[in-house]
Amino acid sequence: AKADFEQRIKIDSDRQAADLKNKIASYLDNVKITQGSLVINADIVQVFGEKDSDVKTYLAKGNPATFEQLLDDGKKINLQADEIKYEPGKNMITISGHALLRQQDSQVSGSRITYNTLTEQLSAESDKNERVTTILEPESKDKN
Amino acid sequence: MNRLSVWALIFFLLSVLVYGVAEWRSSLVEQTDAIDSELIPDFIAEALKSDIYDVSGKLSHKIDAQRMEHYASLEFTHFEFPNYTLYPKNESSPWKVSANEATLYNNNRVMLENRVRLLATAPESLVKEIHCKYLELDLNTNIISSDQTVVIKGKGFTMHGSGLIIDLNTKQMTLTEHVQTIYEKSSR
Repeated sequence: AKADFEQRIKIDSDRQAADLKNKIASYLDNVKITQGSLVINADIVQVFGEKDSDVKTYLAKGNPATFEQLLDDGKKINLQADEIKYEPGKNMITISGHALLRQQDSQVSGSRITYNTLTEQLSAESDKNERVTTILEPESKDKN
Repeated sequence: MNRLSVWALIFFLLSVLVYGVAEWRSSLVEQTDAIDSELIPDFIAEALKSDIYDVSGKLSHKIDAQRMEHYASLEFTHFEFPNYTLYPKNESSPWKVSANEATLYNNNRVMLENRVRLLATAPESLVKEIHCKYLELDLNTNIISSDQTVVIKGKGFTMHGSGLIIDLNTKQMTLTEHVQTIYEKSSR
């Protein structure tokens, strides 16, 4: 939900390594990023800072790295891919490599999916040989 | 055993006894002297300020301290409220390390204790400050390590963990036990 993005971002992990010269902080083993209801789980997360702004980019990698968040309407969105890039400054999440998005009963897969966390809109792209597949399940009343 | 030899024997035992006691008491006194001399510093400096250059003549580090005591036989130097300024390789701005006390051993390793602060003077450095209770600094390799818990403050984040190792020359840092890092909301 939008309130998530007012919160601080917390990163838990077993180990940490930083390249002070290139200003990259890496978090290794059982990495979990939390920001309100937003949760990213990955094997490694790298945090890149930008030159003279404190906008940061969080790059999560895993087999797969997973992302979940409660939306404003209370529904949950799940993303998973080899790589999840979260740019809070631009409200953008880009997932690539066996990218899969699941929400309620609909599912979108492709090689790359971008999701705008503010407008909650997404776009899926695929390389030549892969297809974007979208499965929309009708909202059936009896299914709990 | 006539009376004479009995008296001789008694006299002999008496003298051995007296000698033993005297010897025992003198050995005690001497021992405490030895410890005292090692505990007295060989020289003391107040308001110390010194610059140390490496073999090639480059400024390696500076140290100033409120008080310094050097113990030659024990081969260490103790500082009160030391401030180190370190000049790592290919680095324009130095790092500063301060603490309530520090002990320098002659292999150029320094143990800093109580309110230890490591500060990066480079304005855009990823890491700004590191706070901990205990830190080891190798002045030869500019490698800093601590197995105690540390708090690392950087641009927009605060990191908690222990098992810190920083190589100021290669600018690589690791925390073998990372607890949590909190990133403040970036001002959009």
